[in-house]
Amino acid sequence: MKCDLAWLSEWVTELPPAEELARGLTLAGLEVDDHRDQVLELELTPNRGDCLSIRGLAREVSALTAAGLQEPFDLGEAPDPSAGKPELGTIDADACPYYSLRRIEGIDPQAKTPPWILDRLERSGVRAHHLLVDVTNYVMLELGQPLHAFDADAVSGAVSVRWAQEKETIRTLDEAQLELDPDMLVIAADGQPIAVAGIIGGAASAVGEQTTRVFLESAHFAPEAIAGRARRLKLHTESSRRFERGVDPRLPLQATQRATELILEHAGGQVSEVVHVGQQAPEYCPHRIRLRASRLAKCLALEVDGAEVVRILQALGCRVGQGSGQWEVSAPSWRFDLAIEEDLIEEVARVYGYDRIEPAPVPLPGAWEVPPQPWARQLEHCRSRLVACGYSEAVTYSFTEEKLEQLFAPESRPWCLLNPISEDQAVMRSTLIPSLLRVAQYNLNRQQTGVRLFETAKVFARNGEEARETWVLGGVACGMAHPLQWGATMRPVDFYDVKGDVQNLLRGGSGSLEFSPADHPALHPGQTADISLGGKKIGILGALHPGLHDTFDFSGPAIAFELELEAWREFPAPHFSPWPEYPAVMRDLNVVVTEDTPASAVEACVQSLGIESLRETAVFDVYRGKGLEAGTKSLALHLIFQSFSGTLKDREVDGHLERVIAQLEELLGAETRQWAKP
Amino acid sequence: MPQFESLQRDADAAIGAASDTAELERLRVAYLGRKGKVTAALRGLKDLPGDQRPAAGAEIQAVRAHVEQALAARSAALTEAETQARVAAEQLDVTLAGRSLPPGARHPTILTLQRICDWFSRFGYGTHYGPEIEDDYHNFEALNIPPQHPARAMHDTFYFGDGRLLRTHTSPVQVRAMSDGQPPIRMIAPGRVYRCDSDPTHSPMFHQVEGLCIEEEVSMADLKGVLTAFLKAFFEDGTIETRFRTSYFPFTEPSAEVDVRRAGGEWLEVLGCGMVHPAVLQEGGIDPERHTGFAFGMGVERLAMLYYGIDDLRVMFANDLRFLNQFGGPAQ
Repeated sequence: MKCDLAWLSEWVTELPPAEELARGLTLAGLEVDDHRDQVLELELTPNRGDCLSIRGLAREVSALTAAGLQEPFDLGEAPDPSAGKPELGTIDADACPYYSLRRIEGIDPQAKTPPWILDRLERSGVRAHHLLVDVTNYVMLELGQPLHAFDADAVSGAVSVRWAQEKETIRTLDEAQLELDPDMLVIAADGQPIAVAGIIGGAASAVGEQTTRVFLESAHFAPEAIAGRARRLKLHTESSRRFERGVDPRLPLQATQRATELILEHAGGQVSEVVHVGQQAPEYCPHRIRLRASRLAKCLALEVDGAEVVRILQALGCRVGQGSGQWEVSAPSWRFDLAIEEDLIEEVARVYGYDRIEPAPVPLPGAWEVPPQPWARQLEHCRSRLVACGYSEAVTYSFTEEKLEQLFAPESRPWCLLNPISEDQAVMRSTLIPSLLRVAQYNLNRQQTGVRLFETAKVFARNGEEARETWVLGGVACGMAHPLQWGATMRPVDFYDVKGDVQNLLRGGSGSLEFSPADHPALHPGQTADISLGGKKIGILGALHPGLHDTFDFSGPAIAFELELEAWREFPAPHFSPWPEYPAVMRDLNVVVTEDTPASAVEACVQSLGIESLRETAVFDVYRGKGLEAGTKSLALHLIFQSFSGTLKDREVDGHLERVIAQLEELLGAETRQWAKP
Repeated sequence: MPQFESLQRDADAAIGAASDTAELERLRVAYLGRKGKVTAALRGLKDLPGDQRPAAGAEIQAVRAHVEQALAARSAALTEAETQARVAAEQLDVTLAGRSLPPGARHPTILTLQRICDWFSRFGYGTHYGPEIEDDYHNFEALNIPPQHPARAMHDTFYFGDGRLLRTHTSPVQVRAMSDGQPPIRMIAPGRVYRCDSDPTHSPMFHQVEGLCIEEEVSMADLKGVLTAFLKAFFEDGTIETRFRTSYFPFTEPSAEVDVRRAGGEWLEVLGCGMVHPAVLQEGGIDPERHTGFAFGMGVERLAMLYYGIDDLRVMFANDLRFLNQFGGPAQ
C-alpha cells in the first residue's frame, strides 16, 4: 500500500522525517520498502488490515512516536433526507453482520473530481474513474472502509445479500464474465447478482457518465465470507484485500457520512436516510484479554515498567484495567487481530522495541544431549567420496515429466500434481536418473568433454494410499572418461569406470558388495547390474539403453547408478580384523572358460574350496582371440596366499594350486595353465 | 724401489683412464684383490733377503695406500659424474600439466545447508527431516493456519487432489517433532520445500532450514542470542549487525524477521522467527503455561547467494559445471 505523507500529516500533530518514519514503521512490523517522493511504499502483513488506510497508519504513527492523533474534519450532520429510501431484502447476518445503503439523487452528471482528490488517488496508486467511484476510493484510502456505488436506475427491487447459486454468473466492472461458486457472497436485486460482495461490482449497475442517482453501499462483511474467493476468481481488488484481512466493524456509518459529504460538496444532490440491517459494533472487541506481568517478563526476558505497559497499550487504543500483577485489556474495534496474551506481549515488545531485548548467551548442551547424527555423516561420506571420484553435486527438481517417469518406471503410479507449473514438472519422480541425464546433456551441449554428476534426494512412490519417500543417491557419467591430458588416451567413460566409482563409494564399510546381471526398462540389457550389499539389493548400475539415446540426445554411452541410502544405513561400523605378518605368496593362472561364464563364477569356484591361507582372488586380465577357441575367453587370475602361522612353503602353495586347478576343471570345465612362478 | 714405482705409475694411469664405476671395480680387484698385483707384491716379500724386507714392505704398503686413495677419489668423481649425467637425462618440463581425474564440485546450496546444520548441531539441535508430501493438517492447520486464512495466500501450494500437498515450508516438521517427543526439544529440519511459483526470483522448489527449541524457560532473549551468534558464525564476521523487526507468522507470536548488515552495507533480510504460538504448542500436546519455545526458518538458497555473492537464483538449479566448479575447494 502507498501512503502519501502529506495526507498522513493531516491526521497527526507531527510527523518525523520520511526516512526516520520509514525505519520506525519497519521495525514495528509495517515494512516500508521505499520512501521516495514523500510516499511510503508499505508491505503489510495479513494481520494488519487496520493499517490499510491513512487513519490506520496515523494511529500507528501516534502510538510509535510522540505525535498526537487528530481528525482533520468533523463529520457534521447529513442534510435532511428528502430522497426515497432504498429497499433492503434478506441479508445473511453471519456473512454480513452490517449492511447499509443510502440513496443519493439529483447528482450533477457533469461534475468532475476535484484535483486534490485526483492528486491523492494518484499518489496512492489508485486510478481515477468517475467522481462517484473516485470518492468511494478516496474514503476507502482515508478510513479503510471499502464502499460501492450502484447506479440506482439499474437496480430494481429490494437489495439482498446472499450466497451465490450454483453456476450463477455475473459480468463485472472490468468486463469479465465470472462463474460463481456457492460459497461466494453476492449482492443481489431482482434475482440477479449485482456485485460479488466485498470483491467487485457488476457491470450492469456500474455508475457512468449518465448517472444521476446512486445507491451508496457501506457494509461489514465477515472475513471468512470473503477470504480466498478473490484468489479463486483471480481478482485482487482493493476491496477484497481489506475485507479478507478484516475491516473495523464500526466504520460503515462513518464512511457513508464522509462519502456523502464529499459527493454533495462536489456534485450536489439530495440524500435518503441510511437504511441498514445489523447493529453498530461496540467500541471495543467483546472479549477481554488477560496480560500477566510475569508472563510478559518471562517471554521477553525483560522487565518493562508497568506504567510503560499501560501507556503502550492505551496508545494503541486499548482499554486497560489494572489487576494484581496483571491487566485486563480490551482491544479497540479495529484491532480484532488481538486475541490472546501473546498478541499483547508482541504489541508491548514491538512498541517498546525488539532491540531493547538483550541477546542471551547460547547455552551449550550437556555432552550426552548432543544427538548422534549418523545419517548426516552417511550423506557427507557419499558426497565427499563421490566428489573425490570426479562427480559434481547437482540439485534438480523433485518433479519431472510423466513420459520420462514412465520410461524408467513403467509400473509406477506416480504422484501427479494437480496444478503443475508445466508439463515437464508434472509428477513426483521415483528415480533421480532421468533428471541427472538431462543435466549431463545440458553440460555436454555446453562443450564439456566429460560429465560426472550425482545428487542425493528423496524419490516418491506409493505404498497403498500412503506416500513412500526414499532417500537415494543417483549418479551419471557420460562423455570422456578423463579430461584431455598429455600421455593419456582419450576414451569414452564405460560401465567399469562407474562400477569402480560405486565400489570406491562403499570401500571400507562392512557388508560385502556384489553385482549381478539385471534388467531395467531404461538400461542396456547387457550392461546392467543389481547392486547388493550383504545379500540385500540396494541399487542398480547400468548403461542407458541405446534405444533411449535419442530421447536424451546422447551420441555416446551414458552410465548411471542409483543407491537406496537407507538400505545401507543398517550396516554397522566395520569390526577390526588383524592381518598376517608373514610374507604372502602370489600365483597367477590363466583360466579358459566359455564366454558366458562370469568372472564372479570363477572367483566363487576358487573360494568354494575354503583354502584358509587364500587371502585374495582377483581377475586381472581378460583375453579373447588368437589361440583360443571361438566362444571362449581366458581370464588371468591372481591368487594371494598368506598364513597367520608361518611363512608358506612352495610345496604347500603348489598343493593348494593343484586343488584350485582341479576344482576349476570340474565345476566350470575350465582349461587352466599356471604361469611361471615369480 | 723402482720396481714398485712402475706398479704405482701403471695403477695411476689405469685408474685415471677408468670411465665408469664398473671399470674401477675391476681395477680394484686387479690391484688390491686376492690375486691382485699389490697383493702379489706383498706375497713376494718372503722371497726377498731379510734385510730388504722392511724397506720393501713399507714401500708396498705405501703403494697400496696410494692405490686405495686413487680408487676412492676416482670412484667419487665417477659417481658424481654419473649422477650428473642421470640428472641431466631426467629433466622434466615441470610446466606440463599434472595428470588426474579432477575431483568434482559441491553444490553451494548443499554446502550451505550443511554449514547451517553443523553449527546448530554443536548446540544440541538434532536433525529431523519429515515428509515432503504433506497433508493440510501438518502444513497449515496445526500451524494455526486454518482454511481461508490470508496467510495461505503467501503459500502458493502444489496439490495432489487427495488432500495431500507438497510442503510449502519446513515448519510442519515442528509439529511432527512436538508430537513425537517431549520437551526439552532442540531440533532443526533442513529440506526441500515447494511453492507453485516460477519466475527469475522464485523457484518452484527450494531449501529451508527450520529450527525449534522448546524448554521450560525460553525467551525472546534466547532466540535473539542463538540467531545473532549463528549469523556471525555463518557470515564469518563478528562485526556483522543484526536487527529483529516485528513481523507476522500465524505460528509464532511475537514474530520477527531478522536482517543483517555488514559494515557500510544495506540491511538484508535473512530469516523469520518468533516465539511458538500457544495454539501450535497445544496442538503438539505441550502445555504453553509450562513450556515456551522459539522457532525460526531460513531460506538456504538466499543465504548461499549472500555468502557466495551469487546474484541469480536460476543458476542455483541449472547445474552448469561452469558454475558448480567454483565450489567445493579448500575454503568453504
